[in-house]
Amino acid sequence: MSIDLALRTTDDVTLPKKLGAGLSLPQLFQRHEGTMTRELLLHPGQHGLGMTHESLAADSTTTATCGFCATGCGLRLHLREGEAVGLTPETNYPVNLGMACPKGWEALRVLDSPERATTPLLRGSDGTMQPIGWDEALKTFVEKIRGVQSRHGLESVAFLSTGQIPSEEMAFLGALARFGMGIRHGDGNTRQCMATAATAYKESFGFDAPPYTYDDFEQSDCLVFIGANPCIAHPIMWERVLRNRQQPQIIVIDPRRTETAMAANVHLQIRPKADLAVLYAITNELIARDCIDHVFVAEHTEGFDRLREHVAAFELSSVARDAGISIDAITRVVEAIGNGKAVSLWWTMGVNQSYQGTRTAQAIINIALITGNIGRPGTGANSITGQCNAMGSRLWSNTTNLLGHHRFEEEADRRKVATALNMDVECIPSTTSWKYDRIIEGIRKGEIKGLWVIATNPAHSWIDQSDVRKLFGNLEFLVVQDMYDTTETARLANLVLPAAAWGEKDGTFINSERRYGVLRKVRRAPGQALADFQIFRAIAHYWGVAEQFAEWTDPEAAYRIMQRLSRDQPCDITGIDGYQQLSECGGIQWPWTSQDAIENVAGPRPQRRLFSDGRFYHGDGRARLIVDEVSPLPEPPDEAYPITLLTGRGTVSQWHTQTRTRQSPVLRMLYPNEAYIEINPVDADALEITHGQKVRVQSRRGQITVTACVSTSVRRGQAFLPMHYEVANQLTLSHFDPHSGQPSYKDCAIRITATHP
Amino acid sequence: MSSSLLSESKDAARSHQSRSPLAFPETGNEFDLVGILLEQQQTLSAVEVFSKAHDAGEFDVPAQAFYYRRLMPATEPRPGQQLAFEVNLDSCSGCKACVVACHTLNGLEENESWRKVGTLTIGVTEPELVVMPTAIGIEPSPVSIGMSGVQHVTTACHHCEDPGCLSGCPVKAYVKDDVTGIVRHLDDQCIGCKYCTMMCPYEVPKYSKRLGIVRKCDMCQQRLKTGEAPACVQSCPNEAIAIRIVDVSGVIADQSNRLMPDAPLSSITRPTTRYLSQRNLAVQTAIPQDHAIDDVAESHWPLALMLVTTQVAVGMILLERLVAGVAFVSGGSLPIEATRLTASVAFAIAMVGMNLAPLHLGQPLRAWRVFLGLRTSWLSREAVLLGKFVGALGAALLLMWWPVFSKYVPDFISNLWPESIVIASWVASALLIAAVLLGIAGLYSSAMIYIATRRELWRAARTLPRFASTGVIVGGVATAFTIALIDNASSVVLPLVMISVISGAVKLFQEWKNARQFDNDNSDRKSLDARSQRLITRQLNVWWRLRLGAGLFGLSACFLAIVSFAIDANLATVVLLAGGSVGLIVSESAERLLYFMSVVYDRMPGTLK
Repeated sequence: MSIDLALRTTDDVTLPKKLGAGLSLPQLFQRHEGTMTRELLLHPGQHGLGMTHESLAADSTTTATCGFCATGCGLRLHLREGEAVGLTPETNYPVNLGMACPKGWEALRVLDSPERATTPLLRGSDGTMQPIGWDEALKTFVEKIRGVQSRHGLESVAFLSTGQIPSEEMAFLGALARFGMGIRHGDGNTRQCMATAATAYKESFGFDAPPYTYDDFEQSDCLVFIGANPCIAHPIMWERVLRNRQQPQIIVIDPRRTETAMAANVHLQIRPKADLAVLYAITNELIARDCIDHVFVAEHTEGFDRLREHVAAFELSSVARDAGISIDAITRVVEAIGNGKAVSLWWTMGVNQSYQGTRTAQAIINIALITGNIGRPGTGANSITGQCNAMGSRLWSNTTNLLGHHRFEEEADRRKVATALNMDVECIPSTTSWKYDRIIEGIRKGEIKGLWVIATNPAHSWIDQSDVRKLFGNLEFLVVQDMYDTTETARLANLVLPAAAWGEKDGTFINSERRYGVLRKVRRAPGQALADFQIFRAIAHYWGVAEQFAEWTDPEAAYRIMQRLSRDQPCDITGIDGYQQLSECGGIQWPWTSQDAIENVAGPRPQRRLFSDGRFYHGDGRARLIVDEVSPLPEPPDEAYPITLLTGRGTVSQWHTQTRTRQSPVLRMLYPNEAYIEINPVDADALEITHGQKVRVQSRRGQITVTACVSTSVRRGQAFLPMHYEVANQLTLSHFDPHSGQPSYKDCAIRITATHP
Repeated sequence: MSSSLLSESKDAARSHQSRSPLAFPETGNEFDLVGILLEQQQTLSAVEVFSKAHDAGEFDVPAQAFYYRRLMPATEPRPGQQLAFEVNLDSCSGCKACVVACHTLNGLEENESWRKVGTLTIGVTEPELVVMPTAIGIEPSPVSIGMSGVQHVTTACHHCEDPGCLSGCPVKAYVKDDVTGIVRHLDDQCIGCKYCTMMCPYEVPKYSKRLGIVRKCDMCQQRLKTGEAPACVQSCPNEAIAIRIVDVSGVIADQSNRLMPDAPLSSITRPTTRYLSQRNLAVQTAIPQDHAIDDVAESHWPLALMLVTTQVAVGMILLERLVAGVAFVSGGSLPIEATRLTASVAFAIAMVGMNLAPLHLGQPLRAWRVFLGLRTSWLSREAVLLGKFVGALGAALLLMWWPVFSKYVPDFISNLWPESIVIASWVASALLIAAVLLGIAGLYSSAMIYIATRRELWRAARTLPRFASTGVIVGGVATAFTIALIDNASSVVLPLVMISVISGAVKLFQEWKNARQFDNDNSDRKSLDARSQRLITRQLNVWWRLRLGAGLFGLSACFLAIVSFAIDANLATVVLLAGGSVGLIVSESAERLLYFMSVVYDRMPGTLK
């Protein structure tokens, strides 16, 4: 197998070149060896690592789940005396099979940055941020938050959390804020990413339960990607698609000609937000051609008749025309789905970040249900999650759902949770929290006066950003708890609490396929930075509720509380034997009940999917087929603003608002550092814009100047601006899915004009 | 979890519980929660529990080998074959993991990687027909426009059959393995002259400021040797990069062949990387994302000044010999003082340049090996020839100045010279002629250094006239100046200045005309010449104005010198000639810096900045 070059001393850098070997010169004249050569010398690696450079040489290794996206790759941390010196992708982790994207490779590098928050900062009377000690910071925190609460009522303080911290910290934050501090409203940035999928699943399946496992990528004979670009957003999932040996049909429904679309057999390059009508038309055609699993529909679903009647109005030719695609193309998709033995449908932000996203997601779910493509290998209506712990936020943030995806409104649920927490049931409110957009509206209306932001950056990421920044000015007290004190939001804060980051703390993430994976504390946090968990412990103490949270001593203790909370829920994890078992199994997917653990002594199989028995989580065990009216774009292009702006992920190496990825010099080399907008070549010609020049982009909300990137990946009348650049959300239109509250980032009207230097 | 950590934190909680709820701990109280939390924060996960116990011999083969085995050749290359990268473009999804893996697994510097990924925009525009939602006519199916979109292209060293880096290297710091064909850089041999960064058409060798040398991809030959795959191969999630055995062709059949659109001609170095794609045609007609977006190139200022000064020095002596020859033929003679002064000034100017040049080297102490590349490298040839030029000129000067200085030399030194050996009077003259010949050969090598890169803007027709004219333009007026200092009525002054003025004016006018032409002509915007000119008039405008301003100043001074010479204003003539010399040398230096900074060339696809 290997090329046997080892015997060839002439080629061995470790040995000086031998005299007389061919025409080679002596070392005096031609130095084959020396300090600079040795700098790049590789050594036979231990631990199965292969040839290893000194910088990565380890005395032991351990595996942690990556802290960027929800793929949840296993990263093999190279440790020296317990401290991570580097990492490589874990070969045997069931998620990533030895691969990682650039973000994962650089996960440790972004920890070392001069922008790290190393000490609490308080805004002084002169407006500048002054470093203070933790004692003063915590006292200030309590005093100011209590002050706002006493002046404006308990409802006047809210928190905005994240999908980036471990589940244990989310649960602690949610419990502390809502059960300990009397904070009524809190939401996470997962509202911007997964709320739609969660809502759609909950209504359709009776529980927020993505049914799939990554093995399904390899088992499908037809994969349909809707508003998803895994090549760029989830490259390691795309790895699994390319490992599919079933020669699958790949179908992409996306307004952009993305990398994924390039690899597809059929690409429906639809007009923005034509997705729902197209999906209904596909459904209608599937019914017309009788590609329906009637037995499954009859036994396991409810609402088929209504669905059939509703989609009957979506006739192929008119839908195709409105979507700007051919009938033939849609027909090919229908055939592929109809003929497929194992069809899986996947969606990401193109669906979720839409004003009709919940119904669009449910249209996808409907197709899977009526064709019987669920519960079997290679099937499913599958939401690909965004953030590393988006699902943790859905289950454990204690915001719109009670801990463990219970309901605040149900007294039985409140009692169950109170018992599991060893807390008085009275401390659990019977109402749910406001959603993100309502909290922002609350600030506008003066209902919210204090805000606690944890590991997210709304001053960059929230829709119609300029409005949000202005609103933050109305707050009496803004606390930002983050690993960097330079984020757009931290710069507006009154108090900054320095947080330890991924790699500096323990805990668990839940990835897209419901897999709990562990984090590792393998780096020392800089300066005074504390893990969010520790900050919550400190706040509990200073707030005077330490006794209430006495059991929350460390992340694994919190994990045990979470296990108790999950009992008898679809997401039951009572069978997991602590972090140790998670670590040994390469993560464990929920559910894994204590009963499962007893019945399967060998432990959980690494790839498990839901609904193989066709039983869903509604009381009657049936999934719901949900349909709704299609609504037009709220801000259609017109003469003044003739172009529809799409936003989304630009490159693999950029993560969200770039607060982390921009800290890595290597990652910075891998993407355009200046904001750019993709414009169709015909439009560019018409606007007299040349590739690479600066253009002015205006919407009704703002105006920015970016570089023109003339590209065939967008159609005429559309333009694409990556969301990672701060300027993007100065343009976006503030509107939301009415069911999930998720912002609709990908459809506002703009105009583009050339600027002349 | 570390048990000690657990119990410690529990104790903390307990001790606190007994006193809680405490709204605010008193300052200086015995329970320091913050201190405990900070201390816990600095304790790492108990790795002895979680890390894998690695027994010796547990892994015979690297774990990752399972995935990359089929991406590697099964045998060694046979004679007439070598190893090469093979890239499956259809599998490359643009994640760029290969770039980071190369950086990480090879232990490279913070912003160093030997791979890079560029982006192509493929496909033409959509049909002109606008489809409004009301239109009946159906737009062609997106399936039929399937060839548009983006294509990412990963690229590293191509381990060329005829590597430019290797043939250009003056110190043999590159070796091409005769079995594997891998082109390796010897880091401890490199002098950091960066010439390989010009000779490699693919921008592969990258200079490291910290090390003062370049480094480049060696196909992870240390890994290959043990049967492991290179970093990029083992890290690609899509198995898009493989190592294959290819036949060494010796020639490139199609001279217009390029690896990628806008990439250098493959005939230059015969790269071995193979790009496979089912949409080959579309890729070949695609447009790189950085197409015609150019940055100012490195100024290489020590090189630029070295070029100008050596050219001026050679030009001065050449012209001095010429006018001396003409004077001799026409029965007169140039005073020896004039020759001596001219040669001295030329020597001084040359020495300034020759001493600046090593500033360009990252490892000057290794530069003594510069002769090693004589057989293939124009840089070696230049260094050796210009060295000899300075040597000959120095020797000539010694002889010419000896009569002046001999009386100051102590006897015991001058007595060392055997009296039997008498140096003939023509020897100094012959040495000067030798210096001229060596100098011209050296300057030719200088020009060939850049011409050999096959960069279009450094073509012979653009390089040779520039380099040669510098010697004439500045050499003429400078020689006129040194001669006029000795004999301000000398008849050779006027022709020398005339040569300067005419050649200088023609050159300047040509450049100005060029700039005007490219500014007005939009049809040719994408040609390399036009792109270079755009850099000059936009980003490099300051230098361009210096070039013009100093040139006009120098020419005006020369012109006035002619006038003052005609009216016998001797002092004014000398001063004006000095001014003219300075103006023109500054102007020519600006021209040379522009030559370097405005160079644009074919390259592998990149991305927006």
